[in-house]
Amino acid sequence: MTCEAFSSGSSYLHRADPRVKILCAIFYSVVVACLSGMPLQYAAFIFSAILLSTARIPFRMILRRLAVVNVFVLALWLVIPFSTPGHVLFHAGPLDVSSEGICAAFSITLKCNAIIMANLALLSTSSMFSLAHSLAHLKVHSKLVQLFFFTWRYLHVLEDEHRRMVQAIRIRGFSPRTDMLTYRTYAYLVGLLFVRGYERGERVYKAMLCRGFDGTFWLLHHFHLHGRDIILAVVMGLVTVALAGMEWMGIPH
Amino acid sequence: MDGNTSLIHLENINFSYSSGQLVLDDVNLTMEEGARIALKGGNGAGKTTLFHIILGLIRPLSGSVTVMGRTCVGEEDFKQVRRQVGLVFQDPDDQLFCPTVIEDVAFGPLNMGLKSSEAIERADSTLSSLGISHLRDRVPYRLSGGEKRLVSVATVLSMKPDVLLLDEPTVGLDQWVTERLIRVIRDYPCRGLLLISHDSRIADALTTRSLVLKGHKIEEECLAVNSQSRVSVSGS
Amino acid sequence: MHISEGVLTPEILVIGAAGAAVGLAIGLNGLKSEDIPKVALLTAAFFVASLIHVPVGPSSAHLILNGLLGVILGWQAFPAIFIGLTLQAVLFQFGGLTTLGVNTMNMALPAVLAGFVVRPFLKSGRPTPLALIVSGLMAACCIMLSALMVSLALAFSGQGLEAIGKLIFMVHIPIAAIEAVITASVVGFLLKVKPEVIVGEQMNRKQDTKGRTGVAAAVLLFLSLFAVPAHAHKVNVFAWYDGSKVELEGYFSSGVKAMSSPVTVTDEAGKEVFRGKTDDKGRLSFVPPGKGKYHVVLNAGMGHMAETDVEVDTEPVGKAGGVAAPATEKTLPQTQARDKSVEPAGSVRGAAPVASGAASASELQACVTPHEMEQILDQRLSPIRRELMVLAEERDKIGMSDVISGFGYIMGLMGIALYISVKRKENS
Ligand SMILES: Nc1ncnc2c1ncn2[C@@H]1O[C@H](COP(=O)(O)OP(=O)(O)O)[C@@H](O)[C@H]1O
Ligand SMILES: [Mg+2]
Repeated sequence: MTCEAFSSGSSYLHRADPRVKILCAIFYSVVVACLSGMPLQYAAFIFSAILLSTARIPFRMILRRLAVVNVFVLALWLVIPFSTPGHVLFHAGPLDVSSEGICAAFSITLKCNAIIMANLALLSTSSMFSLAHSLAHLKVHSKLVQLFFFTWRYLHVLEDEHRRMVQAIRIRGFSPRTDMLTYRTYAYLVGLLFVRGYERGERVYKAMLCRGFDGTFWLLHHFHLHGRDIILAVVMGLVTVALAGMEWMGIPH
Repeated sequence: MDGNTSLIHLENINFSYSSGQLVLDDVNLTMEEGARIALKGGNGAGKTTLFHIILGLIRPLSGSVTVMGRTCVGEEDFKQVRRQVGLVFQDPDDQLFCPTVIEDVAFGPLNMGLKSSEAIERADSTLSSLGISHLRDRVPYRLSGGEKRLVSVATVLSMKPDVLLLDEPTVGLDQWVTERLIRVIRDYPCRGLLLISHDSRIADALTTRSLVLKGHKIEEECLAVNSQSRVSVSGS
Repeated sequence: MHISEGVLTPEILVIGAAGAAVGLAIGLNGLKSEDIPKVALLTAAFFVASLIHVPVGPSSAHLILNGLLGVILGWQAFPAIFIGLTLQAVLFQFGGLTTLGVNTMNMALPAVLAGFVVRPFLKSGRPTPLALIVSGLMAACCIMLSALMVSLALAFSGQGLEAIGKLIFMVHIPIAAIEAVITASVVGFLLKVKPEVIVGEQMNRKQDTKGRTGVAAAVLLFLSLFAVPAHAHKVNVFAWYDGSKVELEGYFSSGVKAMSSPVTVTDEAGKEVFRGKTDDKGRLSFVPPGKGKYHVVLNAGMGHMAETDVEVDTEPVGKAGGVAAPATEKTLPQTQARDKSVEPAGSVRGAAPVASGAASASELQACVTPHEMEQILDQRLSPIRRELMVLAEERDKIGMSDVISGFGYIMGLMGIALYISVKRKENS
């Protein structure tokens, strides 16, 4: 998996407190998702791009990520301009292209990319474990944090097991086809994955019991707010509030 | 009952998993003060199961478990047992779940009620005694097999258990890590050691006596060859 | 099957988040501390399994397996799916933060329902043919339900997205078939190899006592999901010609007026003849350039559009004088004030004064031609038209959907309350 590809680095955003980044990401994303006017969407898009550039992630890697996401957006472009009723701009064969449709598709493109870029900048620059830690510090339901945490921890182990199983069936001549044998093989693979997961889950819990676990997780890492975190919070907060305020008051139209 | 002298005493233990297949049939085991025992037996003989019964991770269908003179009945009894008896699991990945090595090693001490500064101190000293201080801030799941094994041993030793149970600790380790592990365990001042291993290098180096789990029962193993090699290693 | 950022309307996002919060609260509430590693590992297994691509003819599809997850985990499918989606959002930017709630709902609710239906058949712990058939069928239903929910979420977010929704639904029909086969085989495998994975969980949770309320909660949650947006987000436009100008009014099914929404009017040739915005009351009037049929499009934002045709069968009276629509549009505050002053006389007459000024000249003439007669009638009938419109609004407003959507909101609030209480309990 190309996991956590962006989490190592030394940029301003990499060093920022993940708690602040999580909160900023959530509020900013929600506000951008609610923007209805094109100028504000543009503004958000540009701001996100600037934010992302401060994370100093290699440009090509960013493009690759955005390309994948925009496949979905492209699918929208192939449908919305034709399917949205409204003022007909021109005819493409039997289909009418409406200006409203083009606007709608464009606004989705802007918002989607604005949010994704912001989240790349704010969330992908932290490791999953430090995000989990922050969630615990942000008082998210502890069971949810623990689930998140264990899932992430053992994802790799199960993935390894899965890879080994696939290799094992490959060397016995398996090649996927559209037939029952293939589906049954995959079903067994999935079944085995669940069995392994279940058994390992039991063992992990036993191992924790052996080390005196009685339901409390002790947080060893404590985050400290630095000046830079406060600056980030203030900048993000101002931008978010400004966007929300202008949207609320309906300017500019 | 000779609770005063024996560290672990199992009496008439019967066990089978929910599939119904018998695993342990009327098993008796006594581990005296200072005993260093190797437990052998084929794959699936029930060795791991026996370890889990000692620590109360699974409960026998019948029979009694006595550890350090305390006959264990409920979860509270076994909680106490788990502070005194350290179990190193067969698969280090089962044991290491924290994001950093230091947190994993401090996990046990924290649960024992140490303050976080003390726990970290204890974890650090354990790591340095095993010579793996450099792994302190690494992510456990990205360690090599040998490093994972050493860290998993550290997570147990940091709780300073009186008795050590090791479940096939050398599977997949190279000569070098195996020797290092042997040194670590030998230097640890424990009152008793129970080791599952098919690896004669570690069994010969660390234990003085062998038991075999066979046909759902425990038997004493007596092989002259073994005792000779044991003498030579323990003298080194 | 995740919906990306920036596509859905805020209403849908909020509903999704509220629903997911309820599901999460129930799931976490029923999750025992000692089961956390196990559920997490099963979540991880599910995540890995969902990366498997199976061939479907020349193409391939990745497994979804939410039905299977529901069978294995029950309500814990909610946290499991939520975590899976969070990981995908952060790691691969699939789905997204704001759509997390909606996507969780779409996947987890059918999963929980499937679990409730299938589990009683698996109680015996033996892979009977019936058990496998039911698992397979429910897995397929589960996928189709998820696809339906995705389609509806899209459809409610804009008319242009409806087509995509339909497309998504169609695409999932073959996937549902594959999921049915695979889920049935996996269930058979698990019952043979390690029945605890399915049955053990079930025994732990004492499903029997909670089962029925659980089903009721899941069904309610499901229905509320459909009802709320249906209710809140259909925009309508009414237009009529009163002899001098075309009047129109836009409103949402909820009765809220479509205020300051852009309106475009085109003639039969597709040429734009008028462009303006509705006022605070969602109204707008304009003088058509001449006889003919006009197409009115009202855009209420976020891809919500309503359209209607209006027939102008006489030369507009006001045309020569040029009194005009621009006036109505530009002097917005005035219109507002006048409307207010008329209000006590009865809202039925609300629109009448607008027309009266223009028509009064012809009214004074003694001799009434049939043509003028028609005009006067039109004028007199306009209040009645308004009345009809109000009735139509009322008809749209009240219905089963209101009742259920009310439930939806209550459930959402209850969910939040439950979540807080669970947290409190945990802290103490
Ligand atoms: N969780 C379990 N559920 C059912 N059967 C099990 C479980 N764990 C082990 N067994 C079975 O119990 C027997 C003993 O297993 P184990 O104690 O792990 O053997 P050993 O450690 O000696 O190789 C084996 O036959 C194994 O298949
Ligand atoms: Mg074993």
